[in-house]
Amino acid sequence: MSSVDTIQEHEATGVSNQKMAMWLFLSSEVVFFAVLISTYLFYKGKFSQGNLSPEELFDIPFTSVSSFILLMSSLTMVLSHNFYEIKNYEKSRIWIFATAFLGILFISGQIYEYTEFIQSGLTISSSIFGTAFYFVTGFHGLHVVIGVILLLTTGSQIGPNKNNRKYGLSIESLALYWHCVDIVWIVIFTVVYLIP
Amino acid sequence: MMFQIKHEDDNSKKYVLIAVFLGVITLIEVALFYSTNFNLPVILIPLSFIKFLVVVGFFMNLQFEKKLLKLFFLLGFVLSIPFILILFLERSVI
Repeated sequence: MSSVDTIQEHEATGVSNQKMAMWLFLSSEVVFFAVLISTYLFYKGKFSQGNLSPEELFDIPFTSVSSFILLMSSLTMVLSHNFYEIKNYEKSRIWIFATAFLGILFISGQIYEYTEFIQSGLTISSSIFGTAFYFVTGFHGLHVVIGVILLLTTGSQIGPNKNNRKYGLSIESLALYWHCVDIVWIVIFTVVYLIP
Repeated sequence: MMFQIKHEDDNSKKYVLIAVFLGVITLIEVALFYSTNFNLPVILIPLSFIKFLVVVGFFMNLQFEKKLLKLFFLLGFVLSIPFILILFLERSVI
């Protein structure tokens, strides 16, 4: 590396290898969630007799707030990336931790929601609907948890008096991952929760 | 090949405005959910698609990326079609 402001890559595409790998990974995530959401749609009506229907179970105001929190975490993530690019590492770190906080808040909401559903009789084995629902939302939640861990790890590595330049592509990749998690939730919120 | 890390201007205000726009669409979606006068899928799916495009285009900056990366992302949607078709066929057999 000849300068602190450059990152050396070896490829012929004009795109850094890490960035290209990240977009390919996101592409595979699109396939994964598209299939999971489709499965949910196919089995949405197959809940057990005596159990509450999805419309009766879902607490839309609560989930709307959760969705808003995740949407705003995309804003904090893009702000972190923005401040990183203009070399304001302190603000970049603050916004990364804010993103992690919002991610934790979202997961807490999901845990609360699951607790309510289980108390109402909807478990992963109570019906095909339950299995499909917990698979879609659970795998999304798992992605959020992984994202939060990555955010906290990256956030602790940047800041004043640290060698910040080497984390440029990492923060960009992390931002792409987090936004992907957000767009998956945009689809889940509409398809799973809002559409009857 | 060497890549310069971009040193762009502060775009914070632009991103905040985009987030406000996304928040407003979410509010509209929830308001529509409680209204019985609309065919929900017909309205909610395009609204959700707008949110999707805004996040991908502006937050993920795909609109400014190289064509190759756009193709990669599109590939995910194309590849998911046969899987969804298989699911559909399986369901019709059941």
